[in-house]
Amino acid sequence: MVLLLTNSQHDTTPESVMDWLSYYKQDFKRLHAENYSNWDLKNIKKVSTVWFWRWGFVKGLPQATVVDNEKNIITLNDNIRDENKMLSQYFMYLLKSKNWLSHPSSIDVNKLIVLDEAKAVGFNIPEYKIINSKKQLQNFKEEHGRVITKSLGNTFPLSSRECFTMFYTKEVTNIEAVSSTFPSSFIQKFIPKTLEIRTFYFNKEIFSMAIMTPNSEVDHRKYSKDLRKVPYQLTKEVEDKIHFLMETLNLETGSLDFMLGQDNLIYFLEVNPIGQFSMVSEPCNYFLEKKIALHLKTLHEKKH
Amino acid sequence: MKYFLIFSNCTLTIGATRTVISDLQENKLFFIPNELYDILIELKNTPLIQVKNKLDLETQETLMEYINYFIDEGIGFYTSSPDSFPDFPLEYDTSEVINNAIIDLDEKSDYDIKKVINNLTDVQCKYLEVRAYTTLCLEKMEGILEYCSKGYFKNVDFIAQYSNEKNYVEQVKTLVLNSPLIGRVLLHSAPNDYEDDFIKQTKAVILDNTCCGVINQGYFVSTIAVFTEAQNHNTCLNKKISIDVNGDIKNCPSMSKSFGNIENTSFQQALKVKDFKKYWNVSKDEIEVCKDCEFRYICTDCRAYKEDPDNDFSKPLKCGYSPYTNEWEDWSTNPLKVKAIEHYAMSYLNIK
Ligand code: SF4
Repeated sequence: MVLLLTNSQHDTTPESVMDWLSYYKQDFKRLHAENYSNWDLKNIKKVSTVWFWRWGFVKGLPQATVVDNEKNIITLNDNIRDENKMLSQYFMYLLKSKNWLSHPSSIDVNKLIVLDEAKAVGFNIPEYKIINSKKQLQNFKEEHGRVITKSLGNTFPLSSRECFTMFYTKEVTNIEAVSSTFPSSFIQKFIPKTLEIRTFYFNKEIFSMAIMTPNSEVDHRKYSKDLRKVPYQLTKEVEDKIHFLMETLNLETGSLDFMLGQDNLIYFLEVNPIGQFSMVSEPCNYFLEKKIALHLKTLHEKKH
Repeated sequence: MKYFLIFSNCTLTIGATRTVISDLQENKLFFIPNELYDILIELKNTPLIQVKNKLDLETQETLMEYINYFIDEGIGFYTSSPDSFPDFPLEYDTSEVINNAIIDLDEKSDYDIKKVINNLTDVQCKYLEVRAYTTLCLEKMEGILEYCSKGYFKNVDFIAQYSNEKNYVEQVKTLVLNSPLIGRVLLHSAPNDYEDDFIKQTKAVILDNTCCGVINQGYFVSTIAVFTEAQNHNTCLNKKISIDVNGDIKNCPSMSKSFGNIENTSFQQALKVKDFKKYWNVSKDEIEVCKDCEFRYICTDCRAYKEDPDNDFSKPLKCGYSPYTNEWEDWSTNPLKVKAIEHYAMSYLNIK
């Protein structure tokens, strides 16, 4: 049996892989952080192969009357999350002898380490710096012109009844409004781009898509629709670097972000070990979900 | 060197007298003269300036007008590295044995619908259309949706006769609102034409399956799914299975050949019968007239009603388009089609 460890939401990526698995008559089970504890562990011995594609976390606090202030809510929430983390870890441990695509322990990448490795492989990377004061920020901006900031870790959106905030990559424009010191932040030089490139790496194969940047001279109304997305062919030189980087990072699969600058250089931005690859597969007709399903089938057959 | 390219997901299809660019991302069409087709193909790997230099001044001007128009419409762009933009991959495949099905019902139908839907689930069917030439009570619709919810279905459409029963329309609307599976409900033989977010009503009377197979511009679909399927497959019958009003298993309810009755034949068995998939790979490239038509990869097809009923590769009877004149005519009044219309006994044409 193939075990799919995914998030709990409706999501085209895992659902489409499941459709292909049914088509190939594979026995499979989908589990996630919120329902795996109901699964009979006796079934583990039937599992040959595990596909790990997100996992989620247990949401919501139980109604606890001891909680009487905000600080306690946060502490309790952290405690519960930690308990669940231990349980999840143990569950993964029980499955450790199976065929994995890919084991969660290998996919915890650190964006700063990745940037170092990418630089070592020879990728162009827009200048960046970790900065925690207004002074440093002003200096960096003076040197590089326009700058952006983005998060280094996984961020969860903030939501309340009034608003919903996601942590996007953002340009830092109003420096005056920044306080004199702030928590260390990743600041990077802004490079004007011709297009963005989303690449999916899997089984030593590379699939890329270009997302065209709207031409600012063109009437804005035209871009109320989706940006143009088409298959893109990276040069052999860039693809060789990708193979090298993924091997160094020990990643069997992952999504990589690049951009083509207006200076005609390809810049490396980041790697996401469990990317939402349907967003590349569908517009480019790459059948990545089918390829994943076939790979899982092969792994399963190998074990028997 | 500067190159001009049409985006690879805006595909060019050359017809007898003009070319259509199908934007597969935006589901939009653009018409261009055939002379431009050759130039656009050449531009894929020749710098613009070189292509231009070979043309006379007037043609150069026309070319630049078109190029500006393509850029304005967002279907073309300049680049210095055309090799980075490969042709769109036209591979086609789907993760199911049967993709879509039609179930026909009339007041005499007494076959087991649950059995039909279980059979459809065995072949991973994703899309279902239920066509009732009679009224369909709410309980029956709910029952069908309930059976479908256990399968792979992504969408279920209903066509049924309008009912005067108190609150019927309101109840149907509530059902559409609450069921994630229902796509579209069309009520025919209604007192008036009406449409909202939940249902569509039409005064048209749909008595039997001879109403099917009409082809007009409204049915063109410029998407990756249709365009890639149309390269080597029939856009109506590929991966389709149907049950007619008697419970007979067919390619489509309008075709005469039965592959057994649902009471004693499973879909798995029917699929194994030689000829069940006979039409699945009949693409427009093999069909008379259609093979010259610029719409051939975005059009639907009909193998049940053909201009020449005895020819498997004859043009669909209910298409009024000529790729040679680029004109649409009313197919039902075309004197050349009278014989075929009589052959199929299209009763409903006399009604209007
Ligand atoms: S001629 Fe054929 S392809 Fe063209 S519109 Fe008619 S049916 Fe479609």
